[in-house]
Amino acid sequence: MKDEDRLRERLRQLPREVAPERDLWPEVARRAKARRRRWPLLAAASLAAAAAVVPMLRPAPQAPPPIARAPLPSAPPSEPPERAELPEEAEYVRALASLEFELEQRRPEMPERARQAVDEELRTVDAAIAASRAARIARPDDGELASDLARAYEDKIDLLRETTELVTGI
Amino acid sequence: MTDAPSQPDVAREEVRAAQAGDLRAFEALYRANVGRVYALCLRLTGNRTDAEAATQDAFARAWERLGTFRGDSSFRTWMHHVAVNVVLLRHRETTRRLRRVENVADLERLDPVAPSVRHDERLDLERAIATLPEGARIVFVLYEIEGFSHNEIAERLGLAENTSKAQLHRARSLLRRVLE
Repeated sequence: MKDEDRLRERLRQLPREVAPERDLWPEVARRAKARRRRWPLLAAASLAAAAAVVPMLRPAPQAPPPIARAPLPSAPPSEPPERAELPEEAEYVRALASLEFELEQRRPEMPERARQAVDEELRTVDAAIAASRAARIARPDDGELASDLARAYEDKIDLLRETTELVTGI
Repeated sequence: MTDAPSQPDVAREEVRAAQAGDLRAFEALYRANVGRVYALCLRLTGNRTDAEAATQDAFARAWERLGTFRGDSSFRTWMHHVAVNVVLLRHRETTRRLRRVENVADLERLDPVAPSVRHDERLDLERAIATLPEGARIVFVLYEIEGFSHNEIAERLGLAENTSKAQLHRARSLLRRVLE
């Protein structure tokens, strides 16, 4: 018991705060800005869609659900495309294929303004992915670059998921 | 003497501004809380690289979820919960991956402390905690430092309560050996 008391005493003396050895804020800010950049888009997409799309999306009394969740003949391939050269990419590429497919199904029902805004956002995140990929391929041993690439993919997944949810959630 | 706003009031103002999209206000919240969040992440993950990534994840998540913060608790407490959730989520993902990839590595991690570490007389408590096997370390930090109950730990980690107790016992035994 004395050992335990000593241990507890030492634990009580541990500092409650430890400063990181490097400034972590720039990366937090980068991710926060990416998210904030999307807020107006999502709000606009949501409002525009609410105003213009609701009547179009409202199913007829016996209509089938608007999104086919079961595999369709035109469903995305279950294997990632050949472009997935990096081992850590495969799962992202597969997830993106599915989300892109879902968004494409919805695209005709989206208002033009929302479509343009989404396309612009997609170009931005695709450029970020391309830049991260190129850096990762050039320096395969750099773990930071692997994290950058993963975050770029996650940004795109978030964007596609949020947009699809907004449109399908109406 | 003027009535300067108290610290919680300042934090409340910053939270409101950050909720309205003011990134500078969020940076102020980050600066005020990063030491505590990083300390938590460092002890839970046991290494600087993962702790840094978890800290960044936690604040990025907090920014995304700021709209859900209603001020029932202090921002510091809320941020603390966000950080714990982020680390445990990362832990669950890592555990899933490791289970898929390799079981042998688990046996190696169960070796309490590498000999070189055991004989290091300057080993301090922080480093000793960091050398604990991951499961034992997380339970130990949550229970002994963060004040969680076994019931809460079991719920968050998806363990039986007895497993949490066993992990804590194991962590204490290992620490005693390391600190002797």
